[in-house]
Amino acid sequence: MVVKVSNLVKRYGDLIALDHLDLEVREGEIFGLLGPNGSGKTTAINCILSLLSFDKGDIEVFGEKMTPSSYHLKRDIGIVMQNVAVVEELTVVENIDFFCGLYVSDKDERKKLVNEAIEFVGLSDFRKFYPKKLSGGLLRRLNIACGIAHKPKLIILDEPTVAVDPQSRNSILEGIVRLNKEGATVIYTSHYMEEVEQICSRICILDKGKIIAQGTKEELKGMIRIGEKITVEFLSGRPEDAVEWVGAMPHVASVECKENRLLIKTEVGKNGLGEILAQLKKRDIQTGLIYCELPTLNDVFLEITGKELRDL
Amino acid sequence: MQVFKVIIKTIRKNLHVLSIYLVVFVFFLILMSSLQTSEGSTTFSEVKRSVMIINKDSGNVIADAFADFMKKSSIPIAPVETEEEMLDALFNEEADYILVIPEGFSKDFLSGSHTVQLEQQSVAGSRGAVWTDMKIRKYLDLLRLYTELSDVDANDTEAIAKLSAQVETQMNKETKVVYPTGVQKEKESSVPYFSKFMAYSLMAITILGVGTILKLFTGRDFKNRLRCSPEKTSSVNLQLVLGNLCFAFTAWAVMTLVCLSFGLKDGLKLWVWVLVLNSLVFMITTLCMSVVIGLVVKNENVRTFVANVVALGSSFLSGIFVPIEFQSETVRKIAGFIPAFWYVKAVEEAKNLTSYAWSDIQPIAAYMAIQLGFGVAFICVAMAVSREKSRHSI
Amino acid sequence: MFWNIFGYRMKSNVRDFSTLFWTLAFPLFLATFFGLVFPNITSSTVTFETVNVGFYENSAYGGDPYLLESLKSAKQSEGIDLFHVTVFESIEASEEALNNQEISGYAEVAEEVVLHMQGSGFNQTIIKSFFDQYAQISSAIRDVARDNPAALEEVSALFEKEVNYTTSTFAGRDKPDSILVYFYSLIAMTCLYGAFQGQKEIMNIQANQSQLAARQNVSPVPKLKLFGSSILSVTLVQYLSILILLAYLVFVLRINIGDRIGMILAAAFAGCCLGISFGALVGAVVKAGEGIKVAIIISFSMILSFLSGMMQSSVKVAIEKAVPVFKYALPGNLIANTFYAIYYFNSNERFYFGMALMIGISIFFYTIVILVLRRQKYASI
Repeated sequence: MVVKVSNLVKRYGDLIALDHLDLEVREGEIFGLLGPNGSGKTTAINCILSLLSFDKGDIEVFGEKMTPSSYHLKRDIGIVMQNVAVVEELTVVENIDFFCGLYVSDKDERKKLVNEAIEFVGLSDFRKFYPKKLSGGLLRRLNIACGIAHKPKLIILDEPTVAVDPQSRNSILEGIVRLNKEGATVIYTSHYMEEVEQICSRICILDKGKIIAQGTKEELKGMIRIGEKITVEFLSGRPEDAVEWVGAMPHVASVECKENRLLIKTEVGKNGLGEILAQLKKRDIQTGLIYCELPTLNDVFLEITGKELRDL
Repeated sequence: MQVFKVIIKTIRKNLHVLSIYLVVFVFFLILMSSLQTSEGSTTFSEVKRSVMIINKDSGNVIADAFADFMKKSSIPIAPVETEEEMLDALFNEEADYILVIPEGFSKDFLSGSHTVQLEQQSVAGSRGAVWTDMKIRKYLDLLRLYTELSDVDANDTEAIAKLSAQVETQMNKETKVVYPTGVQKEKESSVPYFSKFMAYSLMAITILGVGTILKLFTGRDFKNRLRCSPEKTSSVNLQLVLGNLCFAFTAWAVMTLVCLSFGLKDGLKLWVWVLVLNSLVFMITTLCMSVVIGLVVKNENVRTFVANVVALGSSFLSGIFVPIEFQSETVRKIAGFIPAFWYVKAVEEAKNLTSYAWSDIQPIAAYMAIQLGFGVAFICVAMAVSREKSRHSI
Repeated sequence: MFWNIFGYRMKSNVRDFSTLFWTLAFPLFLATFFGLVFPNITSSTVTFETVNVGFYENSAYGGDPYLLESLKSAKQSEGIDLFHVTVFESIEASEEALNNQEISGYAEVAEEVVLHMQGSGFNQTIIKSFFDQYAQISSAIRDVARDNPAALEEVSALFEKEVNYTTSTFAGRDKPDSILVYFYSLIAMTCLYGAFQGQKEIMNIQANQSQLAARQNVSPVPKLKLFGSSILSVTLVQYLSILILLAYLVFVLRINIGDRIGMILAAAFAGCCLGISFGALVGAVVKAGEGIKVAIIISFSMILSFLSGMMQSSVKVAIEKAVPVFKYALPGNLIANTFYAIYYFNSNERFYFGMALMIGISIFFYTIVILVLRRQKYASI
């Protein structure tokens, strides 16, 4: 077990930021911590890193209790903070070398590591640039390079893709997967479910400091009753009239109408689309656009909390 | 009046930084008003120097009479105990001269051998030293004349006392001095002093405050958003001018009130109001200057730096801290290009006003006009800069 | 690891121009102004310069040959002429020279000497003093001759023999020079501006004050090591700033601040530590944003510089006179007075006292800072 958090409670005055949190991160996985802003992701990370004091609970890293002076544990952790933390007056190379130097004393070894990190994040053309001159995406990449240059066993990335252009984002996500393949365990927090879905092997969904679901993405999706989401556009007839008979069909979990569209959710494991199409034809309803979607993590979140992840 | 309101809010948020200069100003006034002592006079009066007299030969007529004479003719400074305190007094210009009358001085003087010398500490070659040396020589030469020509017995106290009385009489003889008429002076009021110093604080506060306001309104995003709003540009500009004026005027009014309340004890003569008017003119000029600085300097750190450089720099050069007549020709030439120089000139002129005919007021009016001229020049520069900037930015 | 952090802190501090503006450029700028303004003050108010005096002898008067001669030969104790005498042929010419301020006054010599003066300043006092003395001595001689005519012969012999009545026992190391107060205060201000640096370093290592600090706190470097190398580097940079200022004062502006270089360097270092530790204290103890902390530091250093005489040297004298403890209790005055002791006193007592205090206060401040830093977890970031 790389990280083990049990029964963690953190309060800010009356506000409970972490409410009896239990987490386990296993070696070799990319662990996703998903949740809306303010759900407690960063607080959890800062507690794990022993930056924040907490009210209750235990935190173990690499099987040992984590304290502010567990320097031998910190040596194997790489951290990419949510906000860019670099030294304004140092260039790209100097910044990476500075942070790497906090972990690795040997100069030659460090030189090699720094070069690898620069290659890795694709900043070779910007070695002598000062942070102020870098665009948002490049700055994020520098931030990542500073966190991972020393080849840590555990990498914690706290929303590394906030305010990043799509190109940089893809390169960052690919990089994380690559790091993982090279043997690092990764903890990745985000409020973008697509990202988490794309790269994480195991996911934990946080809301208001509580874990509301945990597991692989298949497991998570299996937790909900929805199999497919079918949307039908009506060109003739009123969709409101159809609500009743569609609802009466087998395997249909729920029906809703929005303007001239009918939104149908079917039960897990049943394919309802053909049936619905047949019925529509039979009733001589002219249809426009018809499409079918598989459930996403957003649906999981929606079903458990009753609110949309992306609204927050 | 949305824009105006924002300006007031911005200033209120930055009040703590701005008030530092106000605090320094009030501090200065308190200190200076407790230090002020100078008095004028209508007849010729000798300049006196401060001398610390330590008489170790007291009880002897000669030493006592001499010490008395020195005390009467100088500004006597209370003696201090230690050598270091004496040195301190010299360095701090509390005493120009420290005179120690050693033991046995009287006896030795009467004997005519003059081997026991007076011990003095002073800055060699300084005015204070020259002045005091002259006084000492004057008295002792005369005394020597009487003692050596009259052969008194060293133990005959009465005869010696008679001699020093004779010296005393001679000392009262003075040369007649014809003093040019019309240079009468009244007791110096401290208001001109305060008024001059006020220029420093006013400059610092105005540059900083206006800079803060302008930074907000010339920031690209904020400016563009304003441009897109239904608020007319002319109205925005008017409010901006109004806001800045309001701020500078408040700062000026507060300081003027402080100034006047400190000067109250010296009486508020008519010329004091001339000073007030003068400072109002200077406030407007400073405001114009601040706008230029605010437009050119964007970075907050640099702005604080510039505010200090301009405020302290022009204060030193223009005679606010140090009287201009003490300065070299070069400095005086440079100073002409600083508005504060003309402000100080007007203050100097105004404080000597006794009548208020046009011919008396004219130079002051001219100095104020020059200040306003600077103001106009600054506005022209500001407009040029802002036009240039708006051409290059969206 | 220590030296690696130190190296990068050095780089970063040297490139931090907005701080260097305050700690280096501003003092140099002020020094330039002081250098422009103050030396002239000394020469025009303190140093004695030969007085221009006019002399007009009314031809109707038989004359006193000794008067003009002794006026011309009068010297001050350093051997410099007291007067530069211009003899005028007419009263009109004298009057004109007086109005043009070519002379401070002139003597109209007839049966009685009348002095015509322009205002009543120092030069006029010297002129009057001379003529008073001349008149008094002449009168005294007449006085003596009346009682004892035989003694008259002794008089000339008496004045042949010039008697020196005073001897200088001045015990200072160097000449008193009150304008130095301004420069000492400037040095003190520069030292105190080190507070900006101290505050900055604390901000860089206290995890609840900046992201960068939080990031460094999760690295395997003990916090005190981080603190040590940061403070060492910033002290070096600040010390260099002060040395540049001192060099500028001594070599460019030609200000004499004493010849005991070792002591000057030591005092500069102690002052530097005092300033930085003060900033570190503010950074560690004050619970407020960076803006407020900087405002605190600016107001403190401004007020302390003001009290140590930066804008008016009499302020320093007055404040130390009113409350003698302030000589050492106000950090600005403490630094200024230590430099003053180096320049002015032969005995080193005051210097050592000042040094001990500066170092003592720095250590005290740092102790508090370290106690605060040792708490390693934060309630919130």
